Amino acid sequence: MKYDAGGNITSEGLAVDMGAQDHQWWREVLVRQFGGKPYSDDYGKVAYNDDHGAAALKWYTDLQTVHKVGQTGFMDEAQAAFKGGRAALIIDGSFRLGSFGQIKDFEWGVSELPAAADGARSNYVSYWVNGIASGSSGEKLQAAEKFLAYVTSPEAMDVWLKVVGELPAKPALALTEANIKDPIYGPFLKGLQYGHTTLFVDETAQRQVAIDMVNRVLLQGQDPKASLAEAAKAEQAILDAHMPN
Amino acid sequence: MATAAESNRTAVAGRYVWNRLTLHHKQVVWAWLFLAVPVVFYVVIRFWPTASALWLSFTDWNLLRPAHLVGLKNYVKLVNDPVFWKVFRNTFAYLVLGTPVSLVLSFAVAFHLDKIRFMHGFIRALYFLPFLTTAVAMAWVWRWFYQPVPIGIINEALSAVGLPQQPFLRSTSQALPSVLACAIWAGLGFQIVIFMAGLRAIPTTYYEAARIDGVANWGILTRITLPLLKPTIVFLVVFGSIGFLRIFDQVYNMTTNDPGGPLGSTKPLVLMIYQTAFSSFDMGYAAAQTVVLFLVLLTISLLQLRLLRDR
Repeated sequence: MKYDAGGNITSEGLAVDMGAQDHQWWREVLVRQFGGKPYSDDYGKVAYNDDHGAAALKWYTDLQTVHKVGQTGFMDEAQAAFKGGRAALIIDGSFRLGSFGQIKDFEWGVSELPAAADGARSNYVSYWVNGIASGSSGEKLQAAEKFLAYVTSPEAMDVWLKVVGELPAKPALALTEANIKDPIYGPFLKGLQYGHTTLFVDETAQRQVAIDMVNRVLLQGQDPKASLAEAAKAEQAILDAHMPN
Repeated sequence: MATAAESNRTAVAGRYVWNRLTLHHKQVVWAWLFLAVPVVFYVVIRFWPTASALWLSFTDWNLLRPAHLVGLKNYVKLVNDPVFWKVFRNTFAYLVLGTPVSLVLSFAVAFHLDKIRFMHGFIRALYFLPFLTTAVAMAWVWRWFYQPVPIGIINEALSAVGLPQQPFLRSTSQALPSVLACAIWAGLGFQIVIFMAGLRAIPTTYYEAARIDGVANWGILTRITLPLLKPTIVFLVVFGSIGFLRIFDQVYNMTTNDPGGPLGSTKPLVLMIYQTAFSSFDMGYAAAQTVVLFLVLLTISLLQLRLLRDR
């Protein structure tokens, strides 16, 4: 961390933002690395409300409150702090590569998420699902099928990878020798091997629960354990509302 | 040939009926013909959606499956939802703080601007300019104003004079006034122009008579200017209140990375409706919130009109 004469942060170690990708990092990586489990296997029940989850939350909020290596809201957004050269580290998705590819002022690289002390690794991975509306038929259905066939073709996925940075869904295309050895795509591909996908029922609402959980600790000084219990209750209510009875 | 003859006969009959109408009746027919356009417009664009929102609020519609009637379930959920009460308080905070502050500010500016001759048009245009700017662009500029150093101009200024930085949008207590300041500023130009029109409408003879009688400036303001501005004030109070109760653009754009501010501290009812409808796709619940907003707007507007109308 660097400060100006008035004690204000001018650059930070880690760009922290629960509203960006940190909530994924906390759920699927930190909770597991602290020995816990974020949800039941069918993702219908919250399972992080225990000592492991509390330790994971405390570790995350300690980054700001105790170790002071980052500050939520610095440079408005985490990605802006990194892109502006004012954050040393950021945890973000491969979709950001297209934007970070425009950085000219400094060199940057990609690495896997840090392993826990016992070597435990985890990652959050998500994927797109393409579909055709059930009501379509005739020529429109044919056109949709044709478009879907193109969107999922190696050619289109290659364009998507180069422009946006998101990894192709076809393993044969993603796991090429060149991609695995690539210093930027390589770490993302390794992360896929031990990744978990959260089965969200309402990602925005569930993300808000995580943002609020951290804010209660950071802004109101609530004990992480109490904040975690409150979050678990709120998220379980969201899950229950979407689960078939 | 028969059809041609028939249509000819109908036309003749039609002309016969039309010619038998009195001038007054003809005027009525024409009036309704023209009125039909706005009537159809209002029925299709306003009343029908209002009625369907009311109906939806008693259903569990989620865009995908057909709506089922669930009775008062959405309203019961609303009453038991702590977020709703927080949002309800926020919405009233925008109203209770925003309306008087914006009125006093705009009146003060209009009152003094009215007396200035030097570059009057230019200064008035400057005040009106924010009203022409899109709310989204304005909200983002203000969002950056409020950032911590090194990008926030307000905190840069505070730091430069040795004062501590303020969290503004990252604070549960400062976030709502911060958003409100932007909203007040956005509407100020409009209120100033309306106030100035009201001030210009007061006959100068009243002021001259008061001065001859030796009434002090304060007396002129409270006995002549303000009472005669009453219609203008009533209009701006009602108009401003509705605006603050419906606040959305500023909040939505200034807090995208934590929608509705830290721990929901800036979230107004409209943002909650938006999230429930277009992020959680719980249309029935969102419709129930909309009905509540409608009732609040209706009650406040009727109350204000009753309290402020001429006795």
